[in-house]
Amino acid sequence: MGGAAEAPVTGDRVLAADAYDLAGLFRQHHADLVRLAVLIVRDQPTAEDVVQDVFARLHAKHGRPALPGKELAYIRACVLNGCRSVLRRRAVARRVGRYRDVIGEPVSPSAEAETIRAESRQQVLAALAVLPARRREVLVLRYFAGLTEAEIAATLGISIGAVKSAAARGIATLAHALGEGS
Amino acid sequence: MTTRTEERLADALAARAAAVRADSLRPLRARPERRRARAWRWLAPLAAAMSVALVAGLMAALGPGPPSLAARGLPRYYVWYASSTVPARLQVRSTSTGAVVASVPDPALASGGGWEWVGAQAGFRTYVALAACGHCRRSQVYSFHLDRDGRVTNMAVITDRTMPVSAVYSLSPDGSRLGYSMTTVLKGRLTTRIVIFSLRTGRVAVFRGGLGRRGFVPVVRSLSWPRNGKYLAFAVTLCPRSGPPRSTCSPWTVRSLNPAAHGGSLASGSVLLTTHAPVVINQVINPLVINPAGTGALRMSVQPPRSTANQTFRLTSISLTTGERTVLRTWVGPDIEALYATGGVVLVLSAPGRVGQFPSHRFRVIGLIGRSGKYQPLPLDRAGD
Repeated sequence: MGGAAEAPVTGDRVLAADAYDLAGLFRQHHADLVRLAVLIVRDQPTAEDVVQDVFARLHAKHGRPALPGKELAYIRACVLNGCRSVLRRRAVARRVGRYRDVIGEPVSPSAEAETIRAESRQQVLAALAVLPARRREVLVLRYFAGLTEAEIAATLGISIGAVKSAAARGIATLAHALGEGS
Repeated sequence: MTTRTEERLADALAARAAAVRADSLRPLRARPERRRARAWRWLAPLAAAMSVALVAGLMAALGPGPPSLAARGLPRYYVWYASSTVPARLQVRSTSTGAVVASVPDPALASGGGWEWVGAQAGFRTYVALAACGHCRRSQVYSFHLDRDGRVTNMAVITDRTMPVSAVYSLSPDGSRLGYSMTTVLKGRLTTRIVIFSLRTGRVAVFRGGLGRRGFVPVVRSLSWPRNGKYLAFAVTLCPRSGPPRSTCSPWTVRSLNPAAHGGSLASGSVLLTTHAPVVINQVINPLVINPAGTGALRMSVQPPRSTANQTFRLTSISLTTGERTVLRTWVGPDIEALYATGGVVLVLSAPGRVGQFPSHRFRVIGLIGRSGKYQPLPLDRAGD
């Protein structure tokens, strides 16, 4: 029994019993949600864990999210919550000296950075990484996920004004960090 | 209106997200139920210990095996990263068993600093390592020594100079010079430079420019020294300054730089080797290094390019004088292979991953190539990871 439970199974099989189309949501949006989480937590294995946890919890609940027709927004919000938890745990670990944040995994002894074009992108991502969490989330949802201000506000549970403010301040900070400030 | 910052942000986010491939994601796993610890749990380690003792007894009874690596003039120990620790830790491993025999003490940096890079002097007894703290952006260069039993001694900071963290480093075999290459954005333009820093005198020689063409930018990889330390070799390719991220670049050229020079152009040395095949950048990490004897280059290539299921890596030796090529070894599988020249040998590294992507785990040492030019596989004991 235990062995069977530990064997990898496809998303379809795990989610097939759900009343609403959780399997379809998983199939359609899994990769995009992992990409979203990667941009917040900055490493893929952790991002995959976060997204998997969200889907596994939803499956375990056997229930439809509170807002019918807005399942994706709900799942996206769950993923962002999961990312926040990861970042909180990291902050604690960092305080006790057991975690060092890495921007772009230092992978080889030669410590190659990225491709030559990625050097410039790395600068942007590094500047993004030091923004406050709320601003970072707003910028990622706006410039990666392409959400409108109203959608971002609904996802993060904040007002549209707060979204506008966070986006403007985030962009201004980035521009300053990248030497593009006016 | 979209500002330049917004454009760059959108581009960077899209590029980072594009690195996450849908077919590389783990399938969804059902959560295993937690089981209560069983009363007989202690039996497992006991059985394992008895198995080890039995195997050791059998090996002793069957007599000595082939001569050890040390007996063949190869190092007895080497220092490498623990595979999964963050911040990175360094371990001393035995070349003959692959087992961890000691750990290198963590650097004395605040805020959870770790080891960013390590290089060996010829003989693999003296090492230079770079410790860095990601948040405070400080770095320190340490030196340490291994005694006959692989224990770390004489560990000390050897320079106060702050070294860049995101650079490619290479230590000269005599341990006197540290070469590194880095690419930075200066006034909106990508600039590549190679620096040779004397660890004994503190002298810095900067080599920059001289290789670019209009619309192209030089990409430098694979810094390496021959065993006599007469020059610092590097591989360079010219890539279009604009265009898709994986656009094709010019074939690799291996060039040399004179470590005694006071700096100058990247083209100030000589061309050691030119390959013929165009390059898809970042397909292989550290694709070309000089062999320890300085008579040829070692190339790691992948065939067919960008295959994800069965990527085939080929390690080839290329003579600098005749251009003759000899295939030393091929690997087929899901792992990424790479080369790293240090301590007068070339280490062959492996990590799980796909061609064209940076692996998410640290490389492990799976073999080395010494002065003989032959590939020598190294065992790896994962117990100490």
